[in-house]
Amino acid sequence: MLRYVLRRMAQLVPMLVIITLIVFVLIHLAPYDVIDAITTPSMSDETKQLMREKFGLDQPMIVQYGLWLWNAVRGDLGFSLVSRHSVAADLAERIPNTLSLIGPAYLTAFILAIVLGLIAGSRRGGRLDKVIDGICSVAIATPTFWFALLVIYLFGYQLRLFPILGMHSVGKQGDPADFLAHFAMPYLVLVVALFPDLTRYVRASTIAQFDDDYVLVQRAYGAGRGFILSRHVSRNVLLPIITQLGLALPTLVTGAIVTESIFGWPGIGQYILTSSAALDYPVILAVVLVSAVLTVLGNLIADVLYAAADPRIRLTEGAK
Amino acid sequence: MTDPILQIRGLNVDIVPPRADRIPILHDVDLTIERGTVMGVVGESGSGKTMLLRALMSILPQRAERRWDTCLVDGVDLTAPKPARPAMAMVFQDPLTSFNPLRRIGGHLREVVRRFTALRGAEAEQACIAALTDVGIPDPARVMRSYPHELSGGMRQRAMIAMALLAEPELLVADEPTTALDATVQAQILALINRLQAQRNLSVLIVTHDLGVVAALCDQVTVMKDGAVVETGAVDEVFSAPKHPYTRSLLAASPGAATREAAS
Amino acid sequence: MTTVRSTDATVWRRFLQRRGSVAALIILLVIAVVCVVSPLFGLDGTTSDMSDRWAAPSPAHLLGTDNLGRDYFARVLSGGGISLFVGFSSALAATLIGMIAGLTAGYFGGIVDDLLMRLVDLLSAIPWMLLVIVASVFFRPGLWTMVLIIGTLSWMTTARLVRAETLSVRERTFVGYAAFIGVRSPRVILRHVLPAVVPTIIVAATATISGAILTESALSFLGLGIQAPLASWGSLLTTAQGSLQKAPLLAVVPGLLIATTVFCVNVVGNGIRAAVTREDER
Repeated sequence: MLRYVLRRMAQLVPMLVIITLIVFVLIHLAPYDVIDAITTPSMSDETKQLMREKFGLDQPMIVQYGLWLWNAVRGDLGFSLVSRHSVAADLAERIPNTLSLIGPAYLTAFILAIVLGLIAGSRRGGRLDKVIDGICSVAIATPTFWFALLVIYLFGYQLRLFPILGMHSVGKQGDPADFLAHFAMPYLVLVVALFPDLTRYVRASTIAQFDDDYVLVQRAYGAGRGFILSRHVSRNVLLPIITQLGLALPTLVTGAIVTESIFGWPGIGQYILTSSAALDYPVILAVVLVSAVLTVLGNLIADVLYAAADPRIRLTEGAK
Repeated sequence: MTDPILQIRGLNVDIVPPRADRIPILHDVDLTIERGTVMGVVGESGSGKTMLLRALMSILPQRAERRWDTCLVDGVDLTAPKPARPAMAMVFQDPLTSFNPLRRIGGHLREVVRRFTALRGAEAEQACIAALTDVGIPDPARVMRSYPHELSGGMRQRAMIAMALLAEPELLVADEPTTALDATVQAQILALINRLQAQRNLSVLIVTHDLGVVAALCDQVTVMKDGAVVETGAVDEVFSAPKHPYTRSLLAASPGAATREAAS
Repeated sequence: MTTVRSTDATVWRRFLQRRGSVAALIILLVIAVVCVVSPLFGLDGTTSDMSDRWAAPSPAHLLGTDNLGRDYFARVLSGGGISLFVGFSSALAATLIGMIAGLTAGYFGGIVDDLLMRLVDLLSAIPWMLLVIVASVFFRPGLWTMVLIIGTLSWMTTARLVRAETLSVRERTFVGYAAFIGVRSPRVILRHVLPAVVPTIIVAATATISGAILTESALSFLGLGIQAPLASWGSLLTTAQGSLQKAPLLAVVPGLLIATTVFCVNVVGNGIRAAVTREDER
C-alpha cells in the first residue's frame, strides 16, 4: 500500500510541471500582458518598457518560467504583479475564507444528498422518488448565479434579512453573529448548487444495490425493506460516497468562483477572477498549482479509501 | 395417508410492464410435495421454474402479479392477507452474489439466527458453528470470519445451505444449487443435500435443468414448459415411461439418455 | 446488464411515446425558433431611450425596458439567439472532438489509447471553471472565443464515454470479422463501430449542450464572455444585477429562460437514453 501511494505521489510532480508550463505558455502567448492591465493608455511606451524590465517580463519565456519554478519548488510563490503582495500571503488569507464558506456548504449538501438519495433510491419509481429526482433536475438546470440574484432580491432587498456583500461588516471582523449574517445567503446558494449531483449519485448507487442479488436473498429470508436499507444497502452505498469526498477536495478551493464574485466574498474565487483578467501570472500559476495538487491528492485519497473499505480490492503493484 | 408439506393450486403469475402488454409467466400451476420427499422441477430456460420458486417465497420482481387459489406450506396458508412465516428456507444459484460482498459470512449467519430463533449471544454463535460443521466445513470459525469472495465456490454454497438450515425449515427450496459449481463439487453438494434430507427428515424442492440431478436426488419430478406443468409423478415412472411428448424429447436430449434406454 | 440497441425508427417511435420528452422537445423548438426569427419582426433591442428607463411591461414593451431604456423583450430574444448559438455550436465542436478521440482511443488501443487518455486526465486535473476562465482571458473575449474555449474544453467526458462504448463494441464478433476479412480500419470504424456508438454519442451530446449553455451564461455574467454590443442571457443578467432592486423582472426572465432551456435539453436527453435502452418496457 505504501509503495502504491508513493508511486502515485511521484507521478504528481511531472504532471504539475507540465500543467503549469502549459498555463504559463498560454499566458505568455496572449496578445496583451499584465503591464497593459496596470497601465493607462496615456503612459508612454518607455514607461511601459521600463516596467516590463522591472518585472522581468522582457526576458525569454523559458527563463521566466524557470525562475518561477525554481522559486516555487523552494516554497516561494512570488509576488502579484498587480498588487505587489506576496502570493503566498494572499493565499494564506484567502483560502481559509473560501473554506469557511464552502466547507459547511459542502458538508450540508453531502448529508442532504445521502438522506435524499437513499430515500429516493429505495423507493424507486414511487412518488417520493419522482419528487426528489424532479427537484434535483430543476436544481441542476438552474444557473447558480441566477439563483443567487433571486436569493439576494428576496432575502436581501425585500425581507432585508441579510447583508448582501462581503464576509463581515466594517469593524466587525471576528464577530460570529455578523459573520453568520453575511454567510447565510452564499451558503444557501452553494448548498443548492452542490446537492443535486451528489443526490443523483447516491440515488443511482442505492438503486444499483437494490438490484443486486443479495437483496433478493435478504427478502427471501424475510428481511423488510427498512432493515435491508439500514443494515445492508446504506453501508454498501456509503462506501463509494466516502470516496467522493476525496474527489471533492479541489472543489473546496475553486468551487465557488461565481458565488464569491456575486457576494463579494474575499476568497480564492475572487482572487483568480481578478488576476486572470489582469494576466497576473504568478497568481494564476499559484492557484492552478494548488488546485492541480488538490485534484491529484483527492483522487489518491479516494482510491486509497476505497481499497481500505472494500475487502475485495487489494492494491497490487501493477494495478492503477 | 398423504401428508403434504406443500400444496399449491392454480398459481398464475403475469408480468405487467408499464407501457406494454401483460406477459403471462406461469399458468395454472399445481404442485404437491409429500413430507419427507424430494421433488425436482425441471424444464428449459424460460419454462417458469425459477418464477415458481420466487412466487412461493414471495420475492417476485416489482412488476409481477401473482394469483393463486391455494398455497399451504406446513399448514400455513400463504393466501391469507398477512400469513405467518412458514418454515421454509431457500438456497440460491450463485452463492457469490447471494451474499453481501462487504459483510463476513458470520454476519449473515448471525442475522438469520436472530430472526428465526430465540438464540442470542454465545448460543447463537454455537448454532452457527454447528450448522457450518453440519454441512461439512472443516474450519467453521475461520469461515465465520471470512468474506464471501475469500471462499471457494463449493464452500460458499455449503455456507449458504448452512444459512438455510439455521432458519429451521421443514421445506428446503433450492434454485439450481449446483449449476454454478464444478462437476466434482456438484456431486459433493448433492450428496450433502441427500444426507441432510435423510438426517432431518427435510422436504426438498429443487429446481434444475439437469436431469442427472433429478435422477440422483429426487423422489418425484414435475416437468414444466412455457409456464405450465406438463407432467408430474415418481421419478422412476416418469423417466422410464414418459406420458407427454415434451418429457420424452427432454429425456432424449439429455446426456446419458442412451444409458437409461439400455437400463430400462 | 446488457442493453438492446434498436434501429433508429423504433427508437424515434419509442421517444414519441414519452409525453414528457416530447413536451420538452416542443418547448425547446419554440424557444429556439422565436429567438432566431425575432430579428425578422423588426424588434429592436438596441435603441436606447433614456427618458424611459426601467419601464414596467406594456403593450409597447412586453417586458419593459432596461437601464438604458432599450426594449427588454427584444434584448431577451436576441440574447437567446446568441446563447443558443454558442451553446449548440460549442457542444457540436466538443462532441465531434470527443467522438473522434474516443473512437480512436477505443478502437486502436495501445499507445494511442494511452496518450489520449493521459491528455484527458491532464485536462481533467484542473477544475473546469478555472480552466475556462484562464483560457478565456488568453483570447480576447467574444462570441467565437466562447465557442472555441467551451468546445475545446468540454470534450473529455464524451471521449471517455465513447471510448468505453467502442471498447465493448470492438469485442463483438461482427467487428472482429470485418477486420479479419481485411476491411481497412477507417472503414470498419465508420460502417460498423460508429453506428453502434451513435446512441451514446447523442446522449453525451445533450449533456454537453446543457453544460455549454450554463458555462457560457456564467462566463458572460462574469464579464468574460459575450461582450457589448452583443448580448446573451448571461450578460443580460450582469446589467440586471445592477438594478436588481428597481426592476427585478430584468433578472427573472433571462435566468428563467436559461433554466428552462437546460432543463428541457436534459429531459430530451433522458428520453433518448430511455428510448434507446428500452427502459420503460422492463
